[in-house]
This record gives sequence, C-alpha cells and structure tokens, in this order.
Amino acid sequence: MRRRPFHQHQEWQSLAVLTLIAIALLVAHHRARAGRDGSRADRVARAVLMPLQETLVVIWERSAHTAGGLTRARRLTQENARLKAENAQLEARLIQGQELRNAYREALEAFGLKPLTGADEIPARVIGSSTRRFIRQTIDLVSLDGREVRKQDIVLWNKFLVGRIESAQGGRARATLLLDPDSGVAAVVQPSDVQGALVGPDPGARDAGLLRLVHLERDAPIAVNDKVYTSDLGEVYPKGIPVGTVEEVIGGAGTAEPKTALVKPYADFGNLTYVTVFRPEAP
Amino acid sequence: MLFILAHVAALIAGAALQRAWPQGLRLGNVAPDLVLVLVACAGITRGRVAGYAAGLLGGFLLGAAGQGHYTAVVVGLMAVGFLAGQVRGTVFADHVLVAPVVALLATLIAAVVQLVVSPPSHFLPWLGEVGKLAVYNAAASPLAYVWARALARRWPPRAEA
Repeated sequence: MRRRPFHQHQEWQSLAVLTLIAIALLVAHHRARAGRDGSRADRVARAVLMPLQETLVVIWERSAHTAGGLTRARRLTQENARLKAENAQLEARLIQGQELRNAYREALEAFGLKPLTGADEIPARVIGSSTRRFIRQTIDLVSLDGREVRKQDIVLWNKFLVGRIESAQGGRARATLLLDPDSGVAAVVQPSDVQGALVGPDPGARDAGLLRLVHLERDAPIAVNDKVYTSDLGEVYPKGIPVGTVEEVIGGAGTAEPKTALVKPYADFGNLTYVTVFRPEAP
Repeated sequence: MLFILAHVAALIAGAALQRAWPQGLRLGNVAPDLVLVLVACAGITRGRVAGYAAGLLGGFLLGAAGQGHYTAVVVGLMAVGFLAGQVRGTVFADHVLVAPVVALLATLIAAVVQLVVSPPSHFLPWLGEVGKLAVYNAAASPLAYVWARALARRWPPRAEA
C-alpha cells in the first residue's frame, strides 16, 4: 500500500484540530445560551467587535454628514434665513410644550402615577443591527454618556418601545427588538382595555414589520387605529409605554382562525440611529 | 505568520462592518455577508485548511455578534471555506471573475446549511432574501478577492515559496 505524502497528513490533522475547536466553541455557546449572554469566548468577541462597530458608525455618520454638507453648500444661505424664522416659532412651541409637560406631570401625580423621569434614561447610539429578516432581530448600542447599561433595561425610541437589553458589558449592549420572532410583550389595547401578548411579526407576511397581538378573546372588541401599550402583566415592562396602533384585525368570532390584531409599531425600526435606554424601578 | 494576522484582522473588520452596515446601503434590508466573502476568498487563495480556519473564525465572530443561528453560521462558513479551498490551484483560481461565481455558490452553500440546521419558517420569502444576498455578495467579492490574492502573492504558501 502506497504511503500518503506527509503534507496530506498534516492537512487532515489541521482540519481535525479545527473541527475540535469548532465543536468546543459550539458546546460552550449552547451551554451558556439560556442567559442570552453567550459563552465567555462570545463575550470576548463582542468586546472586540463593538468598539470597532462604534468607530465605523461614527466614520460613516461623519462622511455622510460631510458629503451632505458639501452638496447643500449653495443652499445654506437661503436655509439660514428660513431656519431663523423656524427657530423663533420653535421657541414659542417649546414654551408651550413645557407648559403641557407640567400639566401632564400634575395630572399623573393627581392619579398617583409616576412619570418617566430623565434620571433613569441613558441616551445611546445604535452601532449595529441584524442584516437579514430571517435571523434574530437585534441591535447593538453604546451609551453616549458612559453610563452602564444593564441586562433587562428597556430600549425606547422617542418614548416608544423598541425592545429590551439581552446582554451588556459596561456601556455597550445588545438589545432584542420587538421584531424578533422570540420577542414577547404583555400588552393592553386602548380604549377597550383588552389584554394580549404582542409577539414578533410573521417573517413570511407581506408586511413583515407588523407585530402580532395574540391570545385574544374571540370576541375581543378591538378596532383598527386602537392604541397598544405595554401592560404590567408580564412583569417585564412597566405599564403604559406606547407600542403602536392596530392596523388590521384578522380571525375571531365567526371564523376558524383565532383573533389576531396586526400592530404597526410607532418605532421606526429601519431608522434607529439613537435610542434611549430606560431602567424601570425594581418591583 | 503575518498573512494569518492580516486575514484575522480582515475577518474582524468584516464582521464589524457587516453588523454596522448603514441602512441606506442595504438592499431591501439585506447587507452583504462580508465575512462569507472573505472566507471564500481565503479558501480560493490559500487552500482548504486556511479556508476552513477562516470559516471557523468568521462563524465564531458572526455567531457571537448574534448574526444568525450560531451552529448554522459556524458550520456553513467552515463548509464554504473548505469547498472554496478546492478551487485553489485550478486554472480559474487566479482570475478575478472567479470571485463573484464562488461568492454566489458560497452563499447558496451557507443557505443550504442554514436550511438543514435552522430551517426558516417561510421558505419562499427566505429564498428571495438568499437571492438578494447572493447578488450583493457577488458584487462585493472582487474587492475582497483582489485583497486576498495580493496577500497570497506577498506571502505565498510554503510549498510555492
């Protein structure tokens, strides 16, 4: 029998070693999967990738800003005059807004409720996101003021619910979006007060951006344009965070399908650049 | 040793760039799979073992970043790296146009692995997404190939040096 050349043995030995490393990594990952943080090796990889992502996003933003500024250079003078007029109007609206905010706080206090205060809100920049529809829908974010982000913190976009932090390392974190197939939020529909579970969209649907409100009574009085908020039934999110509006109601009484409301989220998931991380009070 | 560092650095940068790919440059919410393209190019230019190793590192990075099902990504990229390594040494391997073809095939191989390991809930929409991804990967591949070929010429494999 002819002996195989040495370099071939070496190649298969290398392949075998690499396969063993792969198996070890997979086992470590799946053993640590319950916590969503991944294995230690995963955390090290994220600690290397996230600062790089942050740098790339900043470079991209600055390049886009510079390119946009150059193309708009001719219009800047006219725009300046228009902005001055707009500024005066906005200042007036700001004063009006402040008055409304005070009235809102007074009303909440009258009902014994606590407003969302700025002290628990951490501004954050989105530095990465899932690049396909048929994979887990997550975003990577970094705190802008250096404050620590924690697992289970809530992510908002303009006060609207976006998702929840699933793993965090200092000021950097990964959040599961409402669009994730595994996402689940206890929700309440207003004005009917119907409770349900808001789950991720059907990835095969025509509009894959619509969340599904399920576990509804067959004759639940839900109508198009009803508002959906978080409820405290799930004990994960504080109640009252706006999520979206009912876009369509399918199934229910008189049909074979269970009643499901398709909810259009307020958050613009295709345009998440900056978000707010909110830490609810411990129960 | 330096070529290994160069490939590792490229894979890390590729994984970060893929995850941070701007929304405005996505093709129907699909960004190119830069790591897959880099793994395929490492395989074409340096052979099966290098492709396999690049697939392992690339899959580990993407899996840790949450970019797909961990097992499917690792196994898929290792398979891609190994199979792309089979192309090395053929008459076509030194032509830049081999890169888009290999990138197309690599996307399909990774998709088949995903189909087996973590089947999607809806086949046809998923297939459409794979099609977009394959086109985007093919478009991105020549640049990665030129870079990988330059590395292979600068530091040729031991047998050819």
